[in-house]
Amino acid sequence: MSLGEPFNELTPDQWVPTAEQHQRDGFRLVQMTGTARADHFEILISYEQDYRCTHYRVQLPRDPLPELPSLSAIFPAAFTYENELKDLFGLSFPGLTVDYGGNFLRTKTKLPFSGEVTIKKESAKPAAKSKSAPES
Amino acid sequence: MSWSVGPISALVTRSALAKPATRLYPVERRTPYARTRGHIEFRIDDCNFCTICAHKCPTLAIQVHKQDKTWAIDHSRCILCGICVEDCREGCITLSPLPCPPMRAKEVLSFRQEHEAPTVKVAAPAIER
Amino acid sequence: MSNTTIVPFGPQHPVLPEPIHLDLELDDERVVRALPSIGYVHRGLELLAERYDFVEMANVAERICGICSFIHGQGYCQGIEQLMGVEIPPRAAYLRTVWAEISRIQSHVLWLGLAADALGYESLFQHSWRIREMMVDIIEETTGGRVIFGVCKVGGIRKDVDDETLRDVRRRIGEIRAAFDEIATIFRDDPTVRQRTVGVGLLSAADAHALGAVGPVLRASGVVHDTRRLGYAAYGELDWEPIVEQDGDCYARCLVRVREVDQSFDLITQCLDRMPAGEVEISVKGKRPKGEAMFRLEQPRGEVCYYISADGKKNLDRFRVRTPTFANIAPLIHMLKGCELADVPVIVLTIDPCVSCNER
Repeated sequence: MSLGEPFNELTPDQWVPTAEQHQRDGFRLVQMTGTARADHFEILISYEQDYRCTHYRVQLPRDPLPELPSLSAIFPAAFTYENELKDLFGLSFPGLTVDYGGNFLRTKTKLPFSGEVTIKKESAKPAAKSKSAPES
Repeated sequence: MSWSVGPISALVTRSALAKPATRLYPVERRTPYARTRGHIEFRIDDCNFCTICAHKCPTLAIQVHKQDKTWAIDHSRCILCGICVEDCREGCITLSPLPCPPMRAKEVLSFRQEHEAPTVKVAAPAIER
Repeated sequence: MSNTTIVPFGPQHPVLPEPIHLDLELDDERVVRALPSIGYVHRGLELLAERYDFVEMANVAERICGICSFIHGQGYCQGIEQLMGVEIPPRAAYLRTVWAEISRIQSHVLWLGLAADALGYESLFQHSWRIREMMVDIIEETTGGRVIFGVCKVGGIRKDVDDETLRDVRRRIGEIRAAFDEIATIFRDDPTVRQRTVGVGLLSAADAHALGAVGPVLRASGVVHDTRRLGYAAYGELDWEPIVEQDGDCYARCLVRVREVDQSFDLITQCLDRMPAGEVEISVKGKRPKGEAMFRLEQPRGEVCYYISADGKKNLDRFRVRTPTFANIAPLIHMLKGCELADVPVIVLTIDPCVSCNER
């Protein structure tokens, strides 16, 4: 099943060659997603062929403005995901074929996920404290 | 290629002659299924105020005070997950299949052990956050 | 010099049930370009996974969407179970399959109704929803909820359904199938439906593959791909083949859904016939999920991906859902290019957009 499909680590310069390789082999782009970590951004990408997925993960440092070459010329499907990452995390994608210029995801604050990351603590119900009690 | 208006004409004619598939709601009501999650019912008599239900409630709809011996539920917050019903050791929380009657204002239903009848408290509008 | 007009379409629009916004660049009546924007109903449910206990989170996961609610709950629970290395009892797997298929029928029939409404076929819309109501009654009888099933939990099923109820469900499924067959013929043959859909919104197999289309959109373009083929829950033990149509137009997408409803009736009957006896849940007390993985399931709208990363704590490290609607936006933009303005609602509807899923 879905377990046993490992996440392979990539360096940012292997990003495009890996995509080209998968495109030649007839893979399909399944998804691309980002996570903000304390000191870097993590981008996950999955390709799929014959119901088998391969996943890759690339880490981008936060400090110089994060940049990743666009895959939208190789996989046309990538443009929505890249626009999403751009609007949420502030990543830039040189070579993006369809660029909505930050208007794809309408958010109240610009780049909502690019800020500081607070490391959560394991408490029983942190969400509970912010809510008002039913009877007060 | 068959282009036919037969099927829809047959269907429309039949439903014009048959009685409606809908119900005249407030007058005519369907009996609820035995399993329908309608609303949470509470009996104060057996409650020993262990506060398990309040702790387990994912939306904090239930508030229990051990000292005051009160038990309160906010029906507008309850998501009818049924966790309190499963976890109540005294069996005083039950799930009724009848849907909760509509609320005119945000109200919290609270129970006190001394008084049998439930007291309804209308919450002030500024209570949220 | 081109003389184009920009027409805003959505997020509130009489023919569009979902809050998606499209800026349509029109040359006369023809769409030159469509610019989508989303994000109107974001609720931050993914972040809640980092705050809630992973067992309680099953309740939240089910509330991602109101139409495919059960499949979201199933996907979440299945993912956590696999990360914990727990195998659920066969009866629970079969019951989950039955509910997943009931929810697929309910969703497809709802969509068929909406599609008929977008075509301006009001009576067909009413009839589709009449049949959906019978399905929703079964949902209410077996689970207790009409929209939120609330039966899936980490480790199996909350409440078993007795055999007598299941026999009754089997009988009623037969009746609903007969009622559905009547409207299925209308969707197949009626000139009103065909004139609005045949040849509209073409998507070739190569484009569908390259643009990452999923679900009925992909299958209507002649690509055989159904995530249920992975064999999760009980799907590995049932006899079925993915439904594929070749034409890639709105009519083909409609047909795929009509045929999938038929297939789902068949799958439910197979499940009910083979329903194993025994326990429906396994205790997961003291176990915590650890590790990370991507789980895929087939929703009514297509393949949904859950990325779950857990570090053995009470709450998850990261929970991310890639919904089928998001994957289908790229093909939608491609299909809208060059179509008539009047066909836009029909084309948008044929990807079966579910924006509440999409934005979580």
